[in-house]
Amino acid sequence: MSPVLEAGYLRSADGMLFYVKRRAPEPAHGCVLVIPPFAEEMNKSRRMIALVARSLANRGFTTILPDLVGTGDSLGDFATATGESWEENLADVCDWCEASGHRVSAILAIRLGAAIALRAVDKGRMPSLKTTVLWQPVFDGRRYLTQFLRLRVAAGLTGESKESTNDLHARLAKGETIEVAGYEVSSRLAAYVQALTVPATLPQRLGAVTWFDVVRQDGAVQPLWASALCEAARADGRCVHYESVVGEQYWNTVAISTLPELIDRTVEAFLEDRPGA
Amino acid sequence: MKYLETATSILGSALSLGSRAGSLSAETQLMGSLPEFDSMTVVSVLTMIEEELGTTIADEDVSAEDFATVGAVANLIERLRLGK
Repeated sequence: MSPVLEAGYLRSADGMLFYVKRRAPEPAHGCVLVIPPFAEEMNKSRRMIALVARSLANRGFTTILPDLVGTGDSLGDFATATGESWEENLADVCDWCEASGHRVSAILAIRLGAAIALRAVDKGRMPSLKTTVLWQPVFDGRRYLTQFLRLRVAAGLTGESKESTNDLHARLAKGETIEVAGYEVSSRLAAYVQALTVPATLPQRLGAVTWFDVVRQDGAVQPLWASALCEAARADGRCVHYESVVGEQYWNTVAISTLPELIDRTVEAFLEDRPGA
Repeated sequence: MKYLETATSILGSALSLGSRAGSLSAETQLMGSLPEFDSMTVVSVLTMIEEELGTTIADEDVSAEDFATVGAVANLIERLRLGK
């Protein structure tokens, strides 16, 4: 039997959210909520998400992927989207899944989606999870925002105008909305992103955590901030596995690319029955 | 050139060259010559250099010339590594 693909809209406090749900032909586990990355990284990630959802469905997991408000096919504009509304969206998706008989018991949080998920979990807006898988999580919002703003600055490298990311940060701080690579970033959204910081530990409600980083070559060392966070979480009794996968940064490549090994190892991570804390 | 291998590895990944990354040399022309080397690629390359060096790169530390060739990218990495 093939996975059943269902797409539609669900009601959220901030507007109708488009979702894609892949139902396992033979459900054996709970539902995995996929928490998308930010802006263009999501477009580059869609193929990987579809592939992992298909693999998970074949192993008994139902997955749900929402487009957060103002993104993808959901209602609203990116210019008016806020991080707080995205956190609420996650809570609404979890409630909707529960009501439709597919309780969310695990998440796959990608890039900035990891930081947003952490906020929602910290605020108690999501249920306690059995498993959390992170794909190259981003927790340092200030640095991430600078890297995103650089898309606009880099475009100026070949032209005459030479604006800096510092200029753009300053304009956002004054309340301006700035267009970056086709995305209208409001000052409120920018403030939300840059207020995100690397947490001191990982909450127990995430359950067993597997953290995947994509590296360019074997033997790459885990970034210091990441190893410090993993160690702190383990010291607090959390079950945290860090793994690296050699390959291309599919969310960042010029053409759409995939990383089959990451998909296979992600499915294994969801299947492993690790103690949550 | 000290960081040529690092530059080749980063550029190969940013441009999705796969095994063709081996064909890059210090003289390989990039920005302005390679159509797929656009602003998105510059951002990817800078992000990867930041991850490699564990640092944040200031705008004033880079210019278009740093992306003219593979060798220029290697020199940029070395300059940032040394904090110059």
